Amino acid sequence: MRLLFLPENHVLPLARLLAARYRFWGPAAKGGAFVFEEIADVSRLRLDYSTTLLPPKQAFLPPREILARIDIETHECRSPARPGKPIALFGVHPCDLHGLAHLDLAMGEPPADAPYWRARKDAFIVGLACVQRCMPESFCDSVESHRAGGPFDWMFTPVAGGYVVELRGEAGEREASESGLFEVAGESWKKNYDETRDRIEKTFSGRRLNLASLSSDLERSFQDGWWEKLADRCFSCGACTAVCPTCVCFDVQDEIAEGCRMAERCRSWDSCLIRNFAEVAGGENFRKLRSERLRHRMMRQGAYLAGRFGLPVFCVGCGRCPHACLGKISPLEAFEHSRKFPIRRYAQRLVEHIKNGVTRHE
Amino acid sequence: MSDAAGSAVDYLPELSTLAAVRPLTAAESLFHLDMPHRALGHHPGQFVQVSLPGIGEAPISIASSPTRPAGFDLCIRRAGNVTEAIHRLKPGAKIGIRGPFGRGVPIDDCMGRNVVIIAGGLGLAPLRSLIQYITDHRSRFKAVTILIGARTPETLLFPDEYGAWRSRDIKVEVTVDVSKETWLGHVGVITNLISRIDVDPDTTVSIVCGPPIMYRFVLRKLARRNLQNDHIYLSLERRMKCGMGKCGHCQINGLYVCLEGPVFRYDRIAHLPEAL
Ligand SMILES: Cc1cc2nc3c(=O)[nH]c(=O)nc-3n(C[C@H](O)[C@H](O)[C@H](O)COP(=O)(O)OP(=O)(O)OC[C@H]3O[C@@H](n4cnc5c(N)ncnc54)[C@H](O)[C@@H]3O)c2cc1C
Ligand code: SF4
Ligand code: SF4
Ligand code: FES
Repeated sequence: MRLLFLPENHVLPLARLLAARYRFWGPAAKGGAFVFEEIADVSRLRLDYSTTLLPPKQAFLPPREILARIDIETHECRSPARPGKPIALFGVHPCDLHGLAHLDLAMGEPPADAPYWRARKDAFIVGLACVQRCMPESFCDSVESHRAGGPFDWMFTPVAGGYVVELRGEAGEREASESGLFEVAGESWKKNYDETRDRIEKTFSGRRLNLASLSSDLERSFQDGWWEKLADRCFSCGACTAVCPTCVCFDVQDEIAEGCRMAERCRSWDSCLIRNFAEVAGGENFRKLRSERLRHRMMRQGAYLAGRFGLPVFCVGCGRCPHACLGKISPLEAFEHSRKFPIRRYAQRLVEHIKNGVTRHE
Repeated sequence: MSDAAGSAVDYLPELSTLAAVRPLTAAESLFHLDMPHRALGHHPGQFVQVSLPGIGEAPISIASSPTRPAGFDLCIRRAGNVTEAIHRLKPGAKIGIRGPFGRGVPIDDCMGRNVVIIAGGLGLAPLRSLIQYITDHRSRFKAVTILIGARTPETLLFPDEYGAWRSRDIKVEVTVDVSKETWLGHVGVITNLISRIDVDPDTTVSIVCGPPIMYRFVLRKLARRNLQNDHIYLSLERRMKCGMGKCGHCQINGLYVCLEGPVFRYDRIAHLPEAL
């Protein structure tokens, strides 16, 4: 692991250098909140941001994008080229770095998704460590995504007077040396760095889930009536999936464009919470109940996708979905409940046995 | 990462030409398509994404066997936007194709065994691919039985082909839910036919495709005939958008029907609460 030091006043010059070579995305203030967006004027960059409304996922999987253009006369079709330079994401918090890693897995499983990888390929990613909790709803420490991880080229950790930067890979080394803005990390910086990292571990030492059993706990709780109770607070609005850094589900629609000469195949974010998400011709709906849809999302985040990719959990605990949800529904609530489920069931059975005059342990 | 980027797949339809249309029932027709640049290269039970520019895409099973050269068949029911529009096309029209997608029927597991094919309604469309394959390689299979159920005699699919199938030493039994006096065949649900056939549990495999409601009854009946779950294959339908395990629409619990299905060995999904 190679560490360098970047003085505070070198941050903007560095951002300007990157903005010349990449389409530059970063956190900026907008309408009383923070957003992660493409920014032309890098002085808008706000590395002191808490969290953004939407995760940086939209850089590679935009809310709406054209997958193909088809000539209606000749049927000739092509996918749109990537618009120019690759993307640089600057200042990505650890939860969102992990989120990007999970997106890469979902969109990279064969057959890999070409439109995603056109945007993702050659992207330069700069992580930024969190030294304090961004909002009460976040639970990154519960799912252990509060530490640096995922696909970063540089990882910034704030220390007195600037940032200690961990470099990774060929692109990370190259961009650092070509910029000429980094300094060799001296002993005092390293000490400061270790202290900051200790502080991070202390700050994020809140709840911990039993990640080793999470997916089996969840699958065991599948038939629990508790999901219906939880769904009483859900409005099937789909806000939770829209703000999620690891949700990828989408819809595809073909549309007429350019005065009826061309057709466009568009994809847009979809949500497994929306009523007709699993409906087929003939009217059959495979997740008709709101509780079935809510449970499905929690299962995806805690069991299905995690199992598919050999991870303990797919949710990164960013807290955006409970923050955005009218009913304040949090995956943490579901994950923690699933752990209690077998115990509750056992207690229930015990009560039944006692009622029947039998006190037998099973 | 670079691997994924290198072998990534786009959502571009390939051009095919509608060569012929054969009306089958009031709602279903058989469309024969030619791909100019390649053979489709499918396995029985797989599906393609069929599209018309500006109208949309729909997943449709391939209704003909890869053993038949020159093009492929799709049996399409009018059900909405895309399927209605396809029904309005004349021969010579262009149709977009992506695929083939999914896992079809594992032919190797059927070879050298008795095969019982159970088709309800439109379920005969994907199974016709397997049936044609069997008729083209008849000696590789032991006793073959096809059980077909439809609502009425008028909605039976491919009745003009049963004779040819029978002539290849295949037993074809047909039943309808309701009929007029002119119908001389069986009346009643398809499960009744299962009671009437010989099933040797050790050497028989069964492949089932039909409307969602059919599976539970058929499976119960097959269990009563002592057929083990790992000798039963089910072809399942779900909503589909991408066909590539990405859009999430087709999921049954943690499985993607477009990748791991649509044909599943029953013992591999029997424990999934969302499967049937
Ligand atoms: C693996 C598979 C194989 C199939 N094989 C055949 C076949 O061989 N022949 C055949 O006629 N039909 C088949 N279908 C069903 C066929 O895909 C639907 O009838 C078709 O998508 C309807 O599209 P539409 O645009 O005409 O209807 P729309 O106007 O889009 O919608 C009409 C209805 O279809 C449902 N629907 C929309 N999109 C889909 C979708 N992508 N998948 C399923 N339902 C959808 C909607 O909920 C709505 O209720 C198959 C489906 C699957 C998943
Ligand atoms: S944001 Fe909340 S209310 Fe909306 S669909 Fe998600 S869980 Fe339901
Ligand atoms: S499920 Fe909610 S908390 Fe978890 S990563 Fe998605 S938005 Fe964040
Ligand atoms: S059809 Fe999109 S995941 Fe299966």
